[in-house]
Amino acid sequence: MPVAAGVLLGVAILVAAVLYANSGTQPHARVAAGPAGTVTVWLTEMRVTPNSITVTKGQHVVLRVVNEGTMRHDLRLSDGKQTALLAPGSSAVLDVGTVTAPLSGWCTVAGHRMAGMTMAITVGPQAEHRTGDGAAAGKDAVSPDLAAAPGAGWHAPEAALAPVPPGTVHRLSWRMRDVVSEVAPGVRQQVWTFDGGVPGPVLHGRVGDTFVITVRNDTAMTHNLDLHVESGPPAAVMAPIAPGGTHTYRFVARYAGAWLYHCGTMPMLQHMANGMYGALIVDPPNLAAVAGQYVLVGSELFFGPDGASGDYAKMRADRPDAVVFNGYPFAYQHEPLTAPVGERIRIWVVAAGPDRGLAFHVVGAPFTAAYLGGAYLVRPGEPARGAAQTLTVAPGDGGFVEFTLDRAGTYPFLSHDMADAELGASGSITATD
Amino acid sequence: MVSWWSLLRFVHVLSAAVWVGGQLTLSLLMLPLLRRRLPAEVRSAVLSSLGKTFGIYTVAVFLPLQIGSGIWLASYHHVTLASLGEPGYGRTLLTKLIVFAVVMLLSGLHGWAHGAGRLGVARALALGSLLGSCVIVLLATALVGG
Repeated sequence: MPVAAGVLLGVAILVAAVLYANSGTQPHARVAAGPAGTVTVWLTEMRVTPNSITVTKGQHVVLRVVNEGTMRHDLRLSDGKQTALLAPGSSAVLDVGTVTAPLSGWCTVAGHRMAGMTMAITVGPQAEHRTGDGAAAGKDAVSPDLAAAPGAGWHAPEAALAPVPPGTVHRLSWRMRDVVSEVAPGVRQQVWTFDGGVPGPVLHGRVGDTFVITVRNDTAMTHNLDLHVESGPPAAVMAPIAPGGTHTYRFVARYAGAWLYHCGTMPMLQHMANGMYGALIVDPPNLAAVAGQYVLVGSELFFGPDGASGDYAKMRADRPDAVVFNGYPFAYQHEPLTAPVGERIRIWVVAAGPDRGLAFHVVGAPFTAAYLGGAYLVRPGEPARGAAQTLTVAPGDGGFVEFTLDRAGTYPFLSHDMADAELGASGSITATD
Repeated sequence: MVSWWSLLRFVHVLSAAVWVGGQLTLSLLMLPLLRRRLPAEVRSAVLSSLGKTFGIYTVAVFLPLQIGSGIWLASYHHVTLASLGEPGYGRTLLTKLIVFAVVMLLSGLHGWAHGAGRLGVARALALGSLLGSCVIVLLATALVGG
């Protein structure tokens, strides 16, 4: 009997406590009147909850900021006060002080503000619901002459495809890092790289080869490796790497093709537009020997302030400053690709976007073989059946073309979307005897 | 990172662990054992003096330590009286404080009932107090987990 009474007492306490502790909701917070008010603010992907707080003018406000998300976040207010970068699950107290004017707040991790991690503190009796103002911080880099001569010591990115390394298991070690580099003549931007360069390293193998890529994340942001050739739940096979972390991605190249890989961390648009993409070339069986092979990865650049990363507002508006092959506008006009006259060459083309595809065209050289998405559009050795004039590659896709340059000279290549070609998506091939 | 604040929180948690652990050990391990092994007249004296010792420890060490460190931690987290009423963190903390007061009351009543020879009532109060302590731990977990 006493035991039953004791248990009943305990259960009563439990039920009453949980019911009371969980009572009330706070989608929109109103700070209680008094000398000081504390509001709990939750950070998740990509939201700040509540995203609007109303306070009485002159009130002392304290925010308890809790990161409930899976990535690192912080909260910065328009008056400059901010929390440290918070790991998932951790929290901080932000003493806002006495509030007399409206304040806005946002997460400073790149892209999170634009993706919706904003909040507003309003003053007055009426709650005013506001979402993020979406203003891009900073000014654009000076609009450059894209076709101007690159800086001293510049060289076009290596486009030649290296032969498949020996063996069937390819082990690589990458270090993700942010690098400030010249992305166009006179334009220095901070690019986000898989291993120091944009595009990322070209991977080359045969069907059935195993790739073991150990990646260390030396940036302040979470990144991952989204391989289009991979099969399996992305959360498992394309695992995110927290800042300072290391992960080993293993995959078997089960299918031939010109595959895109990229960072799949949200906002993906920004991670890709800032440079986190590259090509994986898996040779189809019985590929003919050619005199030369190149890889061209198409993408767009959105210039931000000098030395900073790209402008997210331009990315969202699909308004690129440059459209490029292998990361630099007109790179191969400055330093053309080369080919021997009368011999077949192959160019692999991958469209990284983030928004534009490619209409790849070589002026003066119809494609006598074209391959896209696992199928030959034009088979080599059957000229009577036709040839291709452009290889149309959608964003996130890839393929190759083969052709022969009949006479010595310079052959321009471009994306046959003329606006893109003028923004840098063109180059040339020099044919020599 | 281990800071002075984490040391203070450590003292708060350790002290709570000692108290709840003491309750659990006394109620679930020692009492059944003593009931089986000791003759009735000795048992009563041993239980009384165990209870008294635990009571003295509670008043002299546990309560000052817990309340002192609790207030200090609350000030660090900018907890105000007004914020205690707010849904979420504030209200959970307020609930924890109320349950703490209830548990202390039940423990005091338990000591009184035991002294007055009302052993059935004392047992019920002890069990209620023990379960109440577990509720406090649950609420504390909810606070830390956000």
